[in-house]
Amino acid sequence: MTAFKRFLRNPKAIIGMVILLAATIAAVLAPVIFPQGPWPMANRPFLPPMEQPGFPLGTDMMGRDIMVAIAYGAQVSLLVGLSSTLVALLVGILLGALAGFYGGIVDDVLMRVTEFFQTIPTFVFALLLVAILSPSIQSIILAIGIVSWPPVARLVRSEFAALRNREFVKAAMVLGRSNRQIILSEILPNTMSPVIALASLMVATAILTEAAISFLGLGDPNRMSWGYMIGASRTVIRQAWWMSFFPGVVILLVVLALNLVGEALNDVLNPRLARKGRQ
Amino acid sequence: MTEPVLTVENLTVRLPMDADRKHAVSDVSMVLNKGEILCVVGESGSGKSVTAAAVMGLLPLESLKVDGGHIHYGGQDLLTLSETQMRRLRGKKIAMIFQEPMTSLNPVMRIGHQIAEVMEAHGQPRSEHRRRVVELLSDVGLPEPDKMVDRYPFRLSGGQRQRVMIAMALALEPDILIADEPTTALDVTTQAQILRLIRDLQRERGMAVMFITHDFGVVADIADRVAVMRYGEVVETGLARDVLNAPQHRYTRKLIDAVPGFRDEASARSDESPVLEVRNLRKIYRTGGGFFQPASELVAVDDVSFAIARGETLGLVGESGSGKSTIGQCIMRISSIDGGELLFGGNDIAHAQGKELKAYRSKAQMIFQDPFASLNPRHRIGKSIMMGPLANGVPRLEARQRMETLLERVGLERNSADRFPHEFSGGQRQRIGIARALAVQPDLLVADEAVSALDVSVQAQVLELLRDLRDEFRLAMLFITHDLRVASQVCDRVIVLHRGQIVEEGEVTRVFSAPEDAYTRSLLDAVPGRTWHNRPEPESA
Repeated sequence: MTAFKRFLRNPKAIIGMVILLAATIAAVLAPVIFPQGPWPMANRPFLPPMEQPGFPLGTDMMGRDIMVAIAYGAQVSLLVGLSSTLVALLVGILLGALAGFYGGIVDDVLMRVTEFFQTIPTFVFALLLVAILSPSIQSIILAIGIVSWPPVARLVRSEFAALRNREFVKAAMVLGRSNRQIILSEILPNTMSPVIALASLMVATAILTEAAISFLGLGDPNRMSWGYMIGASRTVIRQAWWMSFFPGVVILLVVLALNLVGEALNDVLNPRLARKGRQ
Repeated sequence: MTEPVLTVENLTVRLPMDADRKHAVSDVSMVLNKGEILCVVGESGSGKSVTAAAVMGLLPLESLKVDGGHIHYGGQDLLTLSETQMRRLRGKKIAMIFQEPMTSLNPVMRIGHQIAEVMEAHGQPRSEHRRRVVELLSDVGLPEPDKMVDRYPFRLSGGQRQRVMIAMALALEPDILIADEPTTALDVTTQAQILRLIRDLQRERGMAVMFITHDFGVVADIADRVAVMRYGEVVETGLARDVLNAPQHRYTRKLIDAVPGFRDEASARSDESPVLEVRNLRKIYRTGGGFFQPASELVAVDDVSFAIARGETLGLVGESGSGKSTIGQCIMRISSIDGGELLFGGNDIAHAQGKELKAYRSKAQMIFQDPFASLNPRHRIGKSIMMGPLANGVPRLEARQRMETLLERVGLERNSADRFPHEFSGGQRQRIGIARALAVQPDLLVADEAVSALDVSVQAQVLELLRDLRDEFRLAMLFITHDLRVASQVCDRVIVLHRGQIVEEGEVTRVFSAPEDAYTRSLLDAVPGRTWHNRPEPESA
């Protein structure tokens, strides 16, 4: 059975994929279904959920439709989650591969740099970067990417360090392949399984971080995001619980889904690791 | 004398559904008599270890299920016992030692404590533990047993650890000792000592020993009786000398014929000019060390010089740590060197870089030990073989042609090029490794333990192939091995290494029949089944 088929048979994977698919559809179709956008006033302010047809989740203090806001918020969350993970993977794989493959001084220097980044509390560092770069979706992506690459670098480095002494790598060396070819075509494909599993969990963390940044009011002012919705409604939480409750539930579901998918990927791609401790 | 202590009757163990055959062992019967050593011998996958695990009740419950049969010991059927009853027998009545001494001891527990634990588990008075442990350690021939008790495993060598394992197995004076390839991971000289130890202890205590091995030399040294297994079935049982000298079954005969023996006829001197000349090679490994503390140094190769001519095979033999593999890696430029010259076609390539190194790479190739690790699991084998020629600028069409001819030359089909390494057996993978090395059309071939991981019958075929290819392509071959019998089969000249230095060098039959150095002699004496190997060829074969 191929890894892909086993993945599809995993119940964790199915639940996770369904939730993620729903979030993706909401993000992609938001401009089609709700062409007016999340900002204009749609009804009276503080409309509770299920009170009027067409407004199942109610409205906020400015009378904006919460359902529309959540659909548009999915765009920001998924965009930030995926792009910042991509940034982190690029940096982490590059540095980890170089450190693991060359070893010695290169390894020492790159790993000290990695440790330097690891010693700074990630959230505070991300917040600081956004504040310096001025809040925008690009700066948030960059900031989250910059704070989350060290674990990738360490993982890739250890995989490279183990694989580079394998005989097939030595054989490639003896056959006269260049270091670049050996890194890219011999070793890198063999390190991908754990990296993919790690990446899916990083997307979840990135979405949480973005929500937290927006909650504190440092989000992109031109985009509706789940974190911003909760942050804006925290002062009225006792009068209008639904304004922070629904975005909170959505964040919970998406992060849970990503964790489920990540675990399922781990089960499928690293079967030996996953089975450990169960018997 | 022949009083059976353990009887295995029609044992059948089922394999999981997706395995390549239905039963791990099927209908296996064997008898272990009191005070004898029964050798269970067979190639990998013959079911010999599964049989032992079934006796110990150590089969992995999920994947291997007993389908039928009985194992009788002391009036009860071991297969019907509960886990608790089995636990009471294990260690006390039936003990086991394993192949890998490096991993079978707990690294964070003192040795004495580990042995005492076995006694404690079976309720022996605590006050006697230490005295008993010291006694046991001296029984298995460990030096300074009263100090050894308080040591941690990392301070012991592989052979010493195996002795500790044996002491642990003997702690409760079991009736039966099951030894699963206990000497396979050890050097020959250590192997000889451990075999003698097991033999002596067995005689002294009148134990019954079930000894599992793949090596007929070991069988010749130690066995009273032999059971030969293939594909999960016992094909032949009998007294050791009968089976070894007059095998009845065709498979046994084939296996015994495949066992490499020592060659008699001397090889002709090559008068061609050397392809590779190594002069005063030195290699030092530095470990540890930091800003303020100097690194510790280990001289792995010390002032080694030799030359290999076209069409000649030079053997490098020695035990682990003798520097033989390091020399191979230095020559292949995978490892840096700390002194000396490597003259290839008259040029020193020891420090060649860039174009010069690339030119050398297309003329010198290597075959590796582990057929499972030496091929990239994500590349189709055709790609792996074509990689060398492509890296050296051979046009794709020609590289493809070379790959296909070589696949056929090493005995595989052309259309196997599109398959992945995991679809091949160990022997086939080694053939792929050979094809990959030859694809760049080298002058020098370094074979580092190239047949050590293979079963004897496969080993014989691969050796044959290597010999043919050497003559066909007029290769200069450096053959690195720990197995003197293999070296004798394939090499013209041989160098014996000890702690990084050459202790003896010469024509292979001369070195092995009349060694001049004491160390060479001790190596030769340690070869398992030495007297049996030197037997006159049986007439039927």
